[in-house]
Amino acid sequence: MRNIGAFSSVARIWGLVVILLGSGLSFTEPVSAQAPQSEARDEVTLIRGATILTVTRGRIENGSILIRGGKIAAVGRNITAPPGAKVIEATGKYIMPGIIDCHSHIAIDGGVNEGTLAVTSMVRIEDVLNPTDINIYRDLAGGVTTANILHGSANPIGGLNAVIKLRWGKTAREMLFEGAMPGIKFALGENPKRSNFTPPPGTPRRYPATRLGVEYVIREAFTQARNYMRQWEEYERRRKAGENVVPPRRDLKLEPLVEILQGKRLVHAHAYRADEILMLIRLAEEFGFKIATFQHVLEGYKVAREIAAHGAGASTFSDWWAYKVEAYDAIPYNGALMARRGVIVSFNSDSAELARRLNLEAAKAMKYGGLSEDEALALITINPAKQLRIDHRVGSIEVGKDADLVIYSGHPLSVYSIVEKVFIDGQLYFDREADLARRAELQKEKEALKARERSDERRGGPRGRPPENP
Amino acid sequence: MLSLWGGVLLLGGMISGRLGFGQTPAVYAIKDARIVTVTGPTIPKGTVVFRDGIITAVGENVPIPPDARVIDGSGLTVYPGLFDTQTDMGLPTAPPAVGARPGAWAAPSAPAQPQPPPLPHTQPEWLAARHLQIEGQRFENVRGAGITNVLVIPSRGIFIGQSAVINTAGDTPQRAVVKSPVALHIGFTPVGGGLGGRFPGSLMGVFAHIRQTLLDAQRYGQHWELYQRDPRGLPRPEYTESLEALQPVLRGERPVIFHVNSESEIRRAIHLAEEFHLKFILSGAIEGYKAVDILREKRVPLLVSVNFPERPRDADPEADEPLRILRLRAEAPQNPARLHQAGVKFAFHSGGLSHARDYIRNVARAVRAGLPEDVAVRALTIHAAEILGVAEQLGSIEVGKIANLVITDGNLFDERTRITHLFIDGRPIELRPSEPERPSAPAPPILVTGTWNLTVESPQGTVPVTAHLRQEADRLSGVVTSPFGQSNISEGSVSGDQVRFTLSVEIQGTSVLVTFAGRVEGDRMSGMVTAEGMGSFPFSGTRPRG
Repeated sequence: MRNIGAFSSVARIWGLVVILLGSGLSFTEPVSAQAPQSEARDEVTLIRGATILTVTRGRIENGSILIRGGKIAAVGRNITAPPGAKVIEATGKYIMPGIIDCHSHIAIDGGVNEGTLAVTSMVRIEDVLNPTDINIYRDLAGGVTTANILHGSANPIGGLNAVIKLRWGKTAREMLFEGAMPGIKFALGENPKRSNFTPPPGTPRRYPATRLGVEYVIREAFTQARNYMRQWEEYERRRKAGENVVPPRRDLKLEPLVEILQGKRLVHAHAYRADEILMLIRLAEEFGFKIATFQHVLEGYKVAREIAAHGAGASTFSDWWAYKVEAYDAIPYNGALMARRGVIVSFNSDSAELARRLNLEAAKAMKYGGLSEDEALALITINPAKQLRIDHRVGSIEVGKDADLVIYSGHPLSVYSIVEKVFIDGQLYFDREADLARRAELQKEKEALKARERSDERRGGPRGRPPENP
Repeated sequence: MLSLWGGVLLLGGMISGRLGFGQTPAVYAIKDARIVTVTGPTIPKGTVVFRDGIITAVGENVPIPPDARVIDGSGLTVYPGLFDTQTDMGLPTAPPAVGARPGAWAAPSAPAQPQPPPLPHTQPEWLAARHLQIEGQRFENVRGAGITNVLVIPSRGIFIGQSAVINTAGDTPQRAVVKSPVALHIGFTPVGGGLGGRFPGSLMGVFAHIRQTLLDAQRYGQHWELYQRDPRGLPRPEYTESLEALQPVLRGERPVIFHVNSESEIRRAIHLAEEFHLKFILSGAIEGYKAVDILREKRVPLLVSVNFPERPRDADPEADEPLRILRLRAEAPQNPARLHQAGVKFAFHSGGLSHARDYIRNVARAVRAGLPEDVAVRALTIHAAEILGVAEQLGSIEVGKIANLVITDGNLFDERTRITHLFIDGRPIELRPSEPERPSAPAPPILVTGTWNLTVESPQGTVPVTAHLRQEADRLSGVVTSPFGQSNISEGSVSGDQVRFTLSVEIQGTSVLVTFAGRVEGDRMSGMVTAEGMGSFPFSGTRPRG
C-alpha cells in the first residue's frame, strides 16, 4: 500500500480521483451469466487474424492461436480450425498475454490490514477473499487475468498472500491460482513504523516506531522461527526414539516464517528507501533466505546491482512519487534502470482503479528509460509471472501455457486501444460487446426492482408496523 | 409466630409454584380440533390429552380422562409449539465478560514464555443456561406469536459460548431449560481493532484466531491424554476452562453453530469446519440459495433467518443502489423455497427481527414465495427439534412429548389468524391481546431527532463528530461523521433521557466498534464514548436549532 492513513491528503486526493473515475464507469454488472460455467476440458477455440504479441517470442502478424482444454495448443500464421472448433475472428486486433498485477488489494473482506500486532503472519488473505467484489470484474475488463492479493503494509511482517486468477463468477476457492507458490507480505519504513498516522484516541502507540525497530521486529521473529523449528526437530527426534513426549504448540505465526527459512514461501517486501532495501537483503542473507520481490522499491535504481545480486525482483510504479517523504527520491526511470542492471522488474497497480490500465503504465517505460516494446510488455506479463514463480503457466503466449489472453482493439501500448475480450484458461470471462449489450437490460431490471420495492412500501410491508413495546 | 407462618405460606407458595399446578387440574383435553401432528397425518377432528406436562393421547377417538379440563376445539387447529432457533432474549445485554485463555500471539519483544494476555469474546465455556432470565415484554411478545421454544445465545463475538434450548415460560429459568449445552457458537465479527489495539481487528485475524484456538485445544486434549496414560516424566498440563470446553466439539460430540449470512461466509465456514472435522450447523444463511451446491453436497443443516434484508428506513430516495443489493432484497424471501427445492434441511429463526409477530409473518412471505406450507410448519417445529437434538421431546404432537402446543382459529400463515390458546409444559399461558387490537399508545416525545455537533475528548485531543440522529419510539438510527469517515448507526436506543448508539468506524484499515452512551437535556447531550479495544472518553455537544 502506498498509504493507508485516513488523513493523508494524497490518499484523499487519489480517493477522489478514484471516485470520479468510478462514477463515470458503467460496468454496472458482470457478464458472469455468460461466463461459461461448464469448462469442457476438450473445448477447442481458434482466434485468428490478429497481431500476436507473444512477449517472449516476438510478434506475429496475421497470426492465430489455437486453444485446447484451456491451454495454448498452437501459435502461428497458418493454423486451420479443427472440425468443431469455435472460431473467433480477430483481424486487425492485437492479442497479448493476460496482465499480471503483482500488487493488488482487491477482493478482500473485513480489512486489508490486521494492524493490531507488528507480526501477523498467522492471517491469510485466502480466508477472506470476496469473489463478488466488483473490482475483480473491472480489473478483468482492463486485461488483468492474474493478481497477487496482498495484506496491507501496516506491519513489518504482514499476512499471507493469495495469487488469484480473475475468474469472475466463480467461488473464492475456484479463483485461487492452482499451485502458485505461497507468499507473505513484509513492510519497511513509514507505514509499519506508523509515522504518518495519528493513532486513534486512547490507543497506545504500537511498536515499532522507527526503522531500527522494524528491523528488530523482523530479526526477532526469525529468531523465534528458528527456535521453533529446532523445537519440532527435537520433538521428532525424541518421539522417534520412543520417548514419552508432548508435542510443541503449533504456532500459526511462526509456521510461515519457518517456510520462508526453508525456501518454501516468497517474501514480498514493501520498501521505499535504498538503505532499507539493503538492510532487508543483509538480514535475509544472514538468515539464509531470499526476498522474492521488493514492492514499490522507488529508490531501487540506487541499489539495482545489489538487488540483482541478491536475486530479488522489483515490483514498482511507473511514475508515482512524492506522496510521502520516503517517496521523494522516486524517478520515472526507476523501472528501466533496474531492468538494465539485470533486475526482473514489474509494474503493479496497488489500486483497483489503476489495475484497469496497467498497459499504459507499461508504455511509460518506453518514454522514460527507452525500453523496447517487448521489454515494456514484459513489465506486466512475463516478469511478474517470474516474480510469482508462475511463469511456467502464464505471462507469455507460448504453446503449453494457460490460454490467458487479452484481445485489444489496437496496440495495447496505445492510449487509444480498448480491451475487447479477455480469456482465462481459454474461457471468455470478459466480452465488451456482451457487456454493452446487457446494460440496458440490467438497467431495466434495476428500475423494475426499485419500483416494486416502492410499491411494496406504499402498501405497508412488515416495517410499516408500529414498534412493539413502546 | 407471624414470621413462622409467613415462612410456611411462602414455602407452600413456592412448592405449588414449583409443581406449577396448585388447584388447577394438571390434565387437559382439547377435543374436536384439527390436529397438525407434523410427524403423523393431520387429524381433521380429534383430541389431544396431556397430563403433568406430557402428551398422553392423540387421536380421533381418544377417551377423555374424567379429571381433565376440557377445551372445545371446534373450529380450532392445534400445532406443536413453534421454535425460534436463534435469539438473544433472556440473556444479559452487555457482552459476556472477557474470558481468559492462552493462545494470543505474544509481541516479539515479550519474554520467551509469556503469560498470554486474555482475548475478548473467546469463552467457549460460557453457558447461556447459566445467565438466563425468563421474564419481560420480549417473552410475552414471543409467546404471543406462538413461539414456545427458542435457542438462546448472544449474537456477537467469536467463540460466543454455548446455547440452550428453552421453553419461553417457566417458574424459574432453570425449569425453562430443555437442553444445555446445545452447541458451541462461533461468529466472525472482529472484536478488536486499531493499530496496537486488541487482536483480532480484521476478518482474517478472526480466522487466524479461531484456527489457533482450535489447534491449542487439540494440543491441550492430546497433552492430557498423554499425561493420563503415563504421567511419569511428563510436564502436567495446565487446566484451562476454555480449552476444556472445546474438547467435545473437537471430538465431534457437540456441534458448532456458525453465524453466517452471505454466500462467501457460508463457504468459508464450511471450509473451516472441514479443516477441523467439526460437526456443524449454519445459522443465518440469508444467501443460502446461492450456495445450494455445497450445502446439499455436504448435507449441512441450516437455521435460516427470516429477517429479510429491506431498504433502510431513511435511505436516500435518489440513491443508486447496486443491482446486487436490489436483487438480494427481492430474492431473500425465496431463500427457504430454493433451499427446500435443493433438498437442504432447515429450521427457521427470527434473525433479530424487532417484532416477534413479524417472525411468522415473514415465514408466510417465504410460503408465498414458493415454500410449501407443510415444509414451513416442519421448519418451525420438527426440523428445528431434530437439528437442535430435542426431537425426542419436542417438535410434534406425539404421545410422550412435552405438551407445548399452539392453538389457532385458522391457518398459521393467514394474517387474520389469531392464537386462542398456548400451552407450555402442559400449562395454559395467558396471552396478552395481540398488538393491533391494543389501542395505540401515545408516541413518546421525539427527544433526540436532529443534527448534533459533538466533541470527543481524547488524550490526543478533541475529535469533532457530527451525528444525524433519528428517533422512532425507542429506536435510534442515523449517520455519524467523524475524521474517520461516515458510518451508519448499527444499533441505537433511547430510554427516557438516556441515549445509546453504536457504529462501526474504519480506523487505519481496521474496523472498530464505537458506542456512544449519554444523556440528553434539551439540546445538550453528554456522556461517554467507548471504542472497542481502545478505551472510553467523555463526549459532549449540542443540537443547533434552526
